Amino acid sequence: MFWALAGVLIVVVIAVLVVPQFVGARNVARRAEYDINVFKDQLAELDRDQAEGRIAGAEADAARLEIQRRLLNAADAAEKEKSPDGTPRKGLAAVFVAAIAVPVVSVVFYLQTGTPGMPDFPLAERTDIRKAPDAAGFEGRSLRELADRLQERLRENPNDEKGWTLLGRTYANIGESRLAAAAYQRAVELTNRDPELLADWAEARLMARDGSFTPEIFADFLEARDKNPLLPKPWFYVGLDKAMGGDLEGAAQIWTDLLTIQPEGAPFVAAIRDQIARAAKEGGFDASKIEPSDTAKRLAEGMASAQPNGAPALDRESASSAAPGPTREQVEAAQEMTAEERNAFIRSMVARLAEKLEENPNDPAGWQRLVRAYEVLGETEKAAEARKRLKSLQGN
Amino acid sequence: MIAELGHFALILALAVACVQGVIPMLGAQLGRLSWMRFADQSAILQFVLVGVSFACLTHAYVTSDFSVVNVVQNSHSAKPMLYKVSGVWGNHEGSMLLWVLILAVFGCAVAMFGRYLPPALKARALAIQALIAVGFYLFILLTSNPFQRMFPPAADGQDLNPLLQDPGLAFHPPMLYLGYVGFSMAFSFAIAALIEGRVDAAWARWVRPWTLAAWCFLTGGIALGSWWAYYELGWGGFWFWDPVENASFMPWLIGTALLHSCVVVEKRDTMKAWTIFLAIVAFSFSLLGTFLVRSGVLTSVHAFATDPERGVFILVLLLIVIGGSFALYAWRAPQLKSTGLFQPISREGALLLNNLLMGTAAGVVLLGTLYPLFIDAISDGQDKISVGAPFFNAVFIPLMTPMVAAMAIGPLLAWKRGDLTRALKTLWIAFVVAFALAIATWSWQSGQSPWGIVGVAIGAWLATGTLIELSERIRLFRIPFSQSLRRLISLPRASWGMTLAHFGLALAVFGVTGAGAWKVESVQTMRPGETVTVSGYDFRFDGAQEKQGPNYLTTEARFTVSRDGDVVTQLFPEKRVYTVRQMPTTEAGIYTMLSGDLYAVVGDSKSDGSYVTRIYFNPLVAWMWIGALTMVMGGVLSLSDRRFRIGAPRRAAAPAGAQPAE
Repeated sequence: MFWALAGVLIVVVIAVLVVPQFVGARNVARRAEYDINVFKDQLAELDRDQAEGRIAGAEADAARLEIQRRLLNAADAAEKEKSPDGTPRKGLAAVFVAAIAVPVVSVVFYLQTGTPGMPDFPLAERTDIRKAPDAAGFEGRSLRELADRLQERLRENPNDEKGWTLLGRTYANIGESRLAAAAYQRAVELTNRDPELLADWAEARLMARDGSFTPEIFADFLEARDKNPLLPKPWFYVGLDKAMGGDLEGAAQIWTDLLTIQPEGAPFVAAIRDQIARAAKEGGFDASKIEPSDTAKRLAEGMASAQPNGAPALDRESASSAAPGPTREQVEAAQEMTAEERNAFIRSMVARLAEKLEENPNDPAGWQRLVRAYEVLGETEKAAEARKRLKSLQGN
Repeated sequence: MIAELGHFALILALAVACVQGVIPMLGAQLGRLSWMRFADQSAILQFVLVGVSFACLTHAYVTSDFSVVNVVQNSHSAKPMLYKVSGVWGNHEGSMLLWVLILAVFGCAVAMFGRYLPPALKARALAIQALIAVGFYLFILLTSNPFQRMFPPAADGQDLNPLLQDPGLAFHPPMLYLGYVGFSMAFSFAIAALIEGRVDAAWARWVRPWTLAAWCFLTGGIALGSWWAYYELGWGGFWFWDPVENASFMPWLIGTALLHSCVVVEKRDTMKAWTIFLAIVAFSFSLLGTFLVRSGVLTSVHAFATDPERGVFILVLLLIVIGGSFALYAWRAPQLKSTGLFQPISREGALLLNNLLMGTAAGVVLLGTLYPLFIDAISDGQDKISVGAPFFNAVFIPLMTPMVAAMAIGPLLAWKRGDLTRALKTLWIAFVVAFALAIATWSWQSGQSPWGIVGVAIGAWLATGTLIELSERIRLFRIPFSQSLRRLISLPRASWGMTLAHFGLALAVFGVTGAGAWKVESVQTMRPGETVTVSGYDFRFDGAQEKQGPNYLTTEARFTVSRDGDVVTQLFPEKRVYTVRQMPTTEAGIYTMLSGDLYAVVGDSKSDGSYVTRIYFNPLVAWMWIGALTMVMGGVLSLSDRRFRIGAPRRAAAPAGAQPAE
């Protein structure tokens, strides 16, 4: 396709350079005749000026004399000059050479400096990145409006840590990492550096920097992991930092630890396995030989024994499903829906969550999510009800 | 693929420009029309090809194609569409592409509308223009390629400098470039004339419209630029004698001189070498302006060190163009014969005086602009001096004052030999008006800078003088009024152009004087509800609120301005932070009146809820832009004069059989 269009350009170039050369010149006026024209026009202008009284008689006469003298000189010169040669096709060979050389040289130059065959990557058609907020269609936009409204509310009530958390999640969901980071930062301050929020904050900053680590971001992930070693996010990113630093084996080790800590059924297990396999392939080592570290084993054991107590398990549940968000396929499907269908889809997701909680009500994090979901949908009554259930649960 | 097509089209344009630089030149030398006309074909072709190339780059910006490095560096997906498009030329590479596009537009215009030009002159001029284009194409393709790709494509762009995300600056560079590049036409014609060794009446007549068009664009571009600086930089000023501004002002000064000397060449067949010289200098300044602004040389000589490839290329290109043309000038200019003689006191003399003062002014600005750079370079960065407004005001105003004074007199002098006493007698009303206004100003402002009085006096002198000249032309009050009116209507558009341009300058002088001499500034911290009184206007600060723009966060303040209890207006200055680059910008809140502008800026907030605010009253400042607009209108009117539309002489070609075919 590119070469077809380039070919069209080349044909146009050759045609425009060559074809008019076959037509002869109709006008072969001599150089001095152009001057004569100007002088005649000057005389006419002088006459007009004099007729309308813009120039006095004596001055006009002097000027006229001068122009007439120049006119005569020009006429003399015109007699002596030769007319230019207007024969068509004169020197056509040189024109042909030029017309052929232009595309040939251009193609050679282009092959040296260009990237032939490289397609365009317009943002709207790219699938490798999250859609930008303004291209995100209905969902992105409505979420943005909600987020903006929420931000307004938080300005009046800046100590609402839950609000800031929700704002951060919402911004993160629509790809506004920078704004998400700002919101998380506030939430982190209010919760005295809650590890989960700390990890979210670090992640948002990382996204805002297009994935390049700073010492501060890395330190925050470490801090979050130290405070709550069962959170998967810090493990994952600490591993990613190792991988980006070139230590693929170290990364695989950390991710293997992550898998050890997490239960088999966690939603991201397959993705982590995939990551480990890729690291192994690139680094040329055998991933199956990597054993979980002692720390990880201890943690996994401790977790298993702690499970009956409830709290860590819930923690894990909320961590593994932190900002769960719909999958890419679901989002894309949602974008193809009509507004009503989309609303119904979002509501059905919320309804499914509510159902699950009815079956298994002992899940504060789940209730927390439901509260947020109702708030996002603007269903304040249901949100209040869900919050009551959450409170009663926490009261136990 | 489209981005690659743009790259390829640009290379084709380079190749076409190469042959356009050779074949028509040979054709003009051999008197062979078919080769001369090759210039027309290739000039049109160049326009098509660069147009395709520019459209392709624009496409990449509009669709946010982040596989194009230039788009990544200067755009962002969340940017409003206007700035996606203006981002195309809001950077070095893209602006160079715009430069060659405009060069091609001018070349194409000469090819298509230059029927009245002697073919040999036209062919040579287009060939020279093509050679300039070759230099620029090579510069773009070898050192500043906007079509460079990257893989994998970036996730998003780095955004355009927020200062440039403004409607004023979206259109300022194209206007300025239309001016700069327009002078390339005058330059090409000048070099063609030097090669031919002749400057004839046809030459002067046909160079003038191109110069005039360039001058109009440049005037508009400079005015837009200063207007932008006025409301975007938030310091209440509109001209800072900043090197970037000077770079556009120097070609304007020389271009104005060129415009006037062209008249002398056409009418009086004299001052030819001088006019050629001005054409070369005007374009040299344009080149300097283009490169200095974009290459960063102006801010620091060391920019060359960080990007030596570009710097050396620029230096070599400047050396070839400027050095080469002056060498040619030194060799050929003595052969240019002038026939017209004139007395010092005459229209020619007045125009020459204008030329000399304009030229000196441009030289002074050049000195003030480059001197700090030389000091910086010689001392290897040890000594830094800054040449600012005090220097320029001290040198520039004394130069411009006599020039403006002479501007009222010049048009009243006759060609060849003028009568100064008579001209001054005619101007007695202007004397009276200027004197009266000066006295009034003096008694009113009591003891402030004398420049305010001088400014008002020469502004009034020029405005009245221009009107007197107009009334002389239509013989107002000396013949019945209806006849005067008829004369007024039938005045040639060129003389209307002169009147408007001179009158526009007078208006601008008032504006500059008012805002320069009597600006009132008040900086303070204000809490919501507090009021500050500036020049009799009460500015009440109503508070500020945060808002979210498309790609920035903004603090929008509200001021209610009242005078003697009556509300005049509300001002909404903003302080924005562009999220991607984390750069703050100010948006001044401005209310324009003929007597002056109310101007408010909001700054940082303090912890106690108060804000730093700056309030200005800028007397008469709007007059400056009204004046600039009037000048441009004058230029456009003059451009439409019928004199520029006289036909070409016709001489039919001999029958085909009469001349032996090749």
